[in-house]
Amino acid sequence: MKTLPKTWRLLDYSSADPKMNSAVNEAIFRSSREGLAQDTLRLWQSPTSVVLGTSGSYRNDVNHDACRKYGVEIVRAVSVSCEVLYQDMGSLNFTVAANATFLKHLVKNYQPVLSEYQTINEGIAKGLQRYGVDAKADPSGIYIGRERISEALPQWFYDFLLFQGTLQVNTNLDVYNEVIRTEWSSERKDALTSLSRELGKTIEVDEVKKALIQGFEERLGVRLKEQGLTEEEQKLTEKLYRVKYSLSKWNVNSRQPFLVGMGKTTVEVFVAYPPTLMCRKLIELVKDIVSDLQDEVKVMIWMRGRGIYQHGPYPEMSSALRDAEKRSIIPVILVNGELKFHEFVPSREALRKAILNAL
Amino acid sequence: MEETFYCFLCKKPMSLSSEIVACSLCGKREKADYVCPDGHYICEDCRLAPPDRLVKKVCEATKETDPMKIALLIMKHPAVQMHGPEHHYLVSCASLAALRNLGKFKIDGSAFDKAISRGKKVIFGACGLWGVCGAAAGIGIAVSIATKANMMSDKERSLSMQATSEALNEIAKIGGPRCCKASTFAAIEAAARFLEREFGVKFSSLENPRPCYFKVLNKECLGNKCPYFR
Repeated sequence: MKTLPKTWRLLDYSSADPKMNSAVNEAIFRSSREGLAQDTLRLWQSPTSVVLGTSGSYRNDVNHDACRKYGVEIVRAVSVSCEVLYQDMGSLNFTVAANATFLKHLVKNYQPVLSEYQTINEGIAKGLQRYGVDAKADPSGIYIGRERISEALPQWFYDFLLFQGTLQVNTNLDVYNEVIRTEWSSERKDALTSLSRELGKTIEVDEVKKALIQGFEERLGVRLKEQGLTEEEQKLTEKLYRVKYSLSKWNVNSRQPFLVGMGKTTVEVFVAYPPTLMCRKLIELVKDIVSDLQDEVKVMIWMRGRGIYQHGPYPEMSSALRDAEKRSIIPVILVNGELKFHEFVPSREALRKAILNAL
Repeated sequence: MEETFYCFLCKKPMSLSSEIVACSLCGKREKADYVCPDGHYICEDCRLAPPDRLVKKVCEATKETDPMKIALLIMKHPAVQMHGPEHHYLVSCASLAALRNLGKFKIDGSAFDKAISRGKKVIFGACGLWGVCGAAAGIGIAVSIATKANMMSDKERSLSMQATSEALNEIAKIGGPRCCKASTFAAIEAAARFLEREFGVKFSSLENPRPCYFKVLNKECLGNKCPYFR
């Protein structure tokens, strides 16, 4: 019996603010992880910007003089890659936010991580081939001959993949070459191309979208159905923009707040196993204080020595809590990944104030 | 509904109690909260203790003459990670406690402080970085403290190094990646042979740590390659 193709969401949504676009990508990724949205292909455009990954160097990877000259905004996206992307209104950006386990079955000789990247790039390349160009995909990007036309910033959360790519359609490659200053930028100068350069004419980005959708559906064997952001995703996007993407703490210094799931304020309580009298008092106090804040606050009780899977198959534990565990500081209360109280039971007022300040 | 907690010494479900019970680790008697059917109770202070305080408390209180039993008891506590530098002084203190209880050496209260202080100087990952596993060094530290060796000593200094060397040889035979539990077992077994040969110390019995209690917790478990797996 032939099975029906899996339906994915096609999200055709762009913001005029590059930072907001990064916030949308993280919001749909989190929504996918939480099972609140279908696997998603987002197609979008962004004003001129340079996008760094989480570990990209704000100081060294970007030519700041050139950015000022061309009015290029510098944005950071969550990604394990040290690639740097350039985007302008001539680029068509694509984001895949999906549980990537099914991609394993779409390739021969599966290679973890690389095969997932390759398969998505193949979907995009298949769309490009409709223009008669010989687009070839590999895990690092899409190439026409030896010239790169697309690259991406991937991010993983257990089995879930966020793949944020940029396809050069009518992209200004001269500005691209000037603003990005990575170790390999000298090699990149001669290794870039765009669809318009290949075809010798300007191409409508909207037209390319249609080709990409068809190529993606064909390669991945899915059906794309256009849908917007969910209400939760919109709320989370706004929160992510406010607490992360609009701040230089993230864009410049790569320091991000600890957010769990759909971005609720998180109170982590680390206690002994079994909890002592002091630990039980702490737990009761926290639960009591957040009883009227349940829509906004998530409480996670971590018990020492019970392992990381105390809260389901995809645990998220703040690095400050890991540090407290390693240093045997117990019991502790952390709010949004910041150590607030340790080794005593705080007053109700002090704890409530700490939680309310973090909302 | 009240959450069920499981005894970390015997894995049996614990039930609420309000009796006065002795802590299974340090012996302190206090009003219990959770007790398992085998009578295990862990006092409030032991539950909150960091590994160094825990090791000292247990070793000071124990009457046990088997260092393996002492080490196993401590390692079951959640403060002791699957792998971690606390194993370096845990081996010394468990050995010193057993030696003290056998009455073979004069081991006073400061011995555990010394062992912990010296053991902490052996860095995490020293096995791969220095070529000296901290558990093996822990045996050398125990012999050094028991014999009151220092760098100017003659035979005592040699014996301390020899003890480390013999334990290290046994640990090296296991192969990698690291397993602080297997290294602890091998170091204590090597120490038992060494102490019997050199000092005539015969531990009344040495608990067999096989099959390893911790194998399910170790992501990098060597499985059948490890002599303690089965």
